[in-house]
Amino acid sequence: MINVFEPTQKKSSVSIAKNRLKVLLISDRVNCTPDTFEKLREELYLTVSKYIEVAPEVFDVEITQSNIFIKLTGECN
Amino acid sequence: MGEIIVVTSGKGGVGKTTTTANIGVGLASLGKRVVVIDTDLGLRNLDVVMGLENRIVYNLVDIIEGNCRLKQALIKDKRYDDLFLLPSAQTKDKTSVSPEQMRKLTSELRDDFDYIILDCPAGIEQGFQNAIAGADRALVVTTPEVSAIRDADRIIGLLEEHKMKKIELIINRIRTDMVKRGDMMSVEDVAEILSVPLIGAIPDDEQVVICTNQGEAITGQESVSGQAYSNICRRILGEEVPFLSLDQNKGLLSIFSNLFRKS
Repeated sequence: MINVFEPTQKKSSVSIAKNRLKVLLISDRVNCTPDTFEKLREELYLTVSKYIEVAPEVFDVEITQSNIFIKLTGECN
Repeated sequence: MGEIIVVTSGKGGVGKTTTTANIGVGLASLGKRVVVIDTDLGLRNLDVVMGLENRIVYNLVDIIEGNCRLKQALIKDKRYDDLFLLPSAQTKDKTSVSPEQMRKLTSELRDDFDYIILDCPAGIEQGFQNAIAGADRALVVTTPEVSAIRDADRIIGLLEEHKMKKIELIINRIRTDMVKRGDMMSVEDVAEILSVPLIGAIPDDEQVVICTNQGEAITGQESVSGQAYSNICRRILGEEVPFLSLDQNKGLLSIFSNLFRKS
């Protein structure tokens, strides 16, 4: 069956572009594939979680040109 | 002592040459002594954009090879007595000049000019290395497209590696109608992704094409893009200038309301 509501629910092309760029720039900056970056993120999480109690959902790694930020959002107990 | 500014982008066709020409004219109109240099060896076009293509005698490579003195190769602008163009060579390739030679040449110009503006070729090869060699400040031009932003990010990384003191962003060819529809990244989106300070945002304006056809600058003209270029020039001088609304109608309105606010 054709969903008549589909076209209106289409994601804006800007949000697609932003998501593509986010992945692309990080892998460009650290010179690795998106898969490798995902592994790096996982290992960083494992390391950090050894010392700090943190849920995977609130753990985020951001790489800018010259800095790496490890973000823990939300409340920590 | 003049400041050396390189206009660069990585990706071709985003408006480096137009930006270089318009910033050159803008700074000259603010009373500064300016020289713009085309560093794209083999593919010169800054002369055409500025409408000075018929006056070229010597070029950048002639100075480096010692065929002429520096002053002989400088072409005076049609309108401004304190604006000069140093054209690129059309028949030489990018290996005819080294970064060291460019650094020497630009530092010689520092004594005579307030601003030395280099139009960098696309790419990250020797032409890019030559253009950034002696620069104090880099203006990275991009458009709100994935490919241009990716290349700009790469260029910013290389500039940081090169210890460039100041890196600023110019976002070109913004279409407010598309931004409103959610089909083009906004100025804020692009600036946030690239995380370097924004120095200017220029709307996609057919007036730019018309001016380029005539070999004229848009800076200082009535249009929103002309105003946007003028603002970039004032920001280069260190003035705090609020960012324009790029919406054509709203833009004009805000210019008027600013006028009233001042008085």
